[in-house]
Amino acid sequence: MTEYKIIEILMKEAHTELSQEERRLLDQFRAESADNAAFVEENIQILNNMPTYDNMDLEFVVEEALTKVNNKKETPSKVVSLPRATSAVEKKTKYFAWLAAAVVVFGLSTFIYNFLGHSSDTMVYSTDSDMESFLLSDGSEVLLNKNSTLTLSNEFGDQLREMQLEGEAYFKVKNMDDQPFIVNAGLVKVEVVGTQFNVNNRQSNKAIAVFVNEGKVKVSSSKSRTKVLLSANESCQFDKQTNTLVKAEAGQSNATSWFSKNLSFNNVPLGSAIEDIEAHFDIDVSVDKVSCLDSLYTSLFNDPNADEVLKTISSVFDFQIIQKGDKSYQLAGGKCE
Amino acid sequence: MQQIKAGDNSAYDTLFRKYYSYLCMVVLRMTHSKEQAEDIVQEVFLDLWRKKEQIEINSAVKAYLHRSVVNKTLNKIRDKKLDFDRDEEKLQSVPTMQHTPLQKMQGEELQNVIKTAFESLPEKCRIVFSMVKYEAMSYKETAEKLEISVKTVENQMSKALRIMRAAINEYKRQ
Repeated sequence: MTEYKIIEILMKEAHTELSQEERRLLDQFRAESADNAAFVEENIQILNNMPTYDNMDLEFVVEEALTKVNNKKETPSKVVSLPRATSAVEKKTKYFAWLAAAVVVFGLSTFIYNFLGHSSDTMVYSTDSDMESFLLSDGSEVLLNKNSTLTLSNEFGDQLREMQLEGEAYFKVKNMDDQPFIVNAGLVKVEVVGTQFNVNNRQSNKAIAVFVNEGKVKVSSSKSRTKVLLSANESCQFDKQTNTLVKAEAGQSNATSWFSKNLSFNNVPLGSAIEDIEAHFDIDVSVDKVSCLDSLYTSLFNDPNADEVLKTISSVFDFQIIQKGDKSYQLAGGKCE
Repeated sequence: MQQIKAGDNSAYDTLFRKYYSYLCMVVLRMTHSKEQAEDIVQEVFLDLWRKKEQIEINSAVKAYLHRSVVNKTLNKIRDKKLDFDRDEEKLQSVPTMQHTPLQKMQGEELQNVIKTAFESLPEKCRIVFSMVKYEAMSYKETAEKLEISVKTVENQMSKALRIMRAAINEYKRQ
């Protein structure tokens, strides 16, 4: 373990002055044995000879990149931000109203830019660390979750209402009878006729899942001949490995938890509750006792934190919570039916 | 920067030409993919243009761009949800380099061995190491940015150096 500390000190030494204590620790370690001294010397030798990457041995085609960026920058996002709710409470109420009809798509998008072709014909809506809402030119509203990108063609609204999503978004679609609203989320196409829906197309997700809270939505994929029509509280999954689109048994009541902030579990297997919890808090939770994953669980949380949820579950199933990392938990032990 | 704020395209182009390659190298120290590096840097430049009215830059533009590029890279890394505690990555065998026997391990040759070893580090190891080494972040800062524990940073740092030491020793033995 001392070696860890020594490495930390050596790394620090490269760019700042060491404290007296650190200097003392380093000298002491060095003096302890020849091995220690060699350890320090070798590491210093490595650190002093790390590649600097100052002299470029890689060529970048700067002009080409510049042209690419200049093409993109001249397509200002024709975006009118929705007025932001003034308080958290108001915000929540608003999002709940949106919940009336929702579709959630989980999945993976690898070809966002391929789809709409040249970048100069597109409008790009992007978020970084915060969610943001946008009003599209057809009157539809989009609540774009953090780290997400929605790309629309410049013809959006005239001939077709079609777009590409990377990340996650919730849509409130303006009803236009003759114009379907289409969201391409990776390999899956979600077609909506006048409703509200939510698409999550995160790179990290393995399957693409669609959940409809209310309204009717058609889901298809170029990789599968099956088409699925979803009504309220129905969901389907597209398995990326087998390229199959299957209607799922149960709905996904927590598909919109990212903005509703509520987690609800109504007599669901613990395994699927854990999946929702992992997605909601962006954490990893492992359960030691596999048999527990089928035990049914019921609970409702209103804007909880991860600790609170895990503690509640653990008290029900008699788990012991072991925190393995900042975002990684193990539920050990457990008594399940 | 004032010119860019006013919408001056040529000032923007100049800035782009000046720092593009440098910023790509900054990303490349952390990730393996040249393509991804270029994507990230282009995104940062686009953000700069789109947000030019709002952006307040208090430091040098280069430092600002550097920071933006590092942050964006870290966001991408976080989105990949790498499990830094799981060591499923096989330690890739470090490619050995051609050399003439009597040459001493020094100067350029040593640097080449280290560079090759560094670039073949497992992804997570390399990310952590380059943050500490090149971005001069403390262990604590690195842990916070990657949302992992300090313990994990310690492990990965020690692993990175162990692999590079092994590469040098291996080379010396030949």
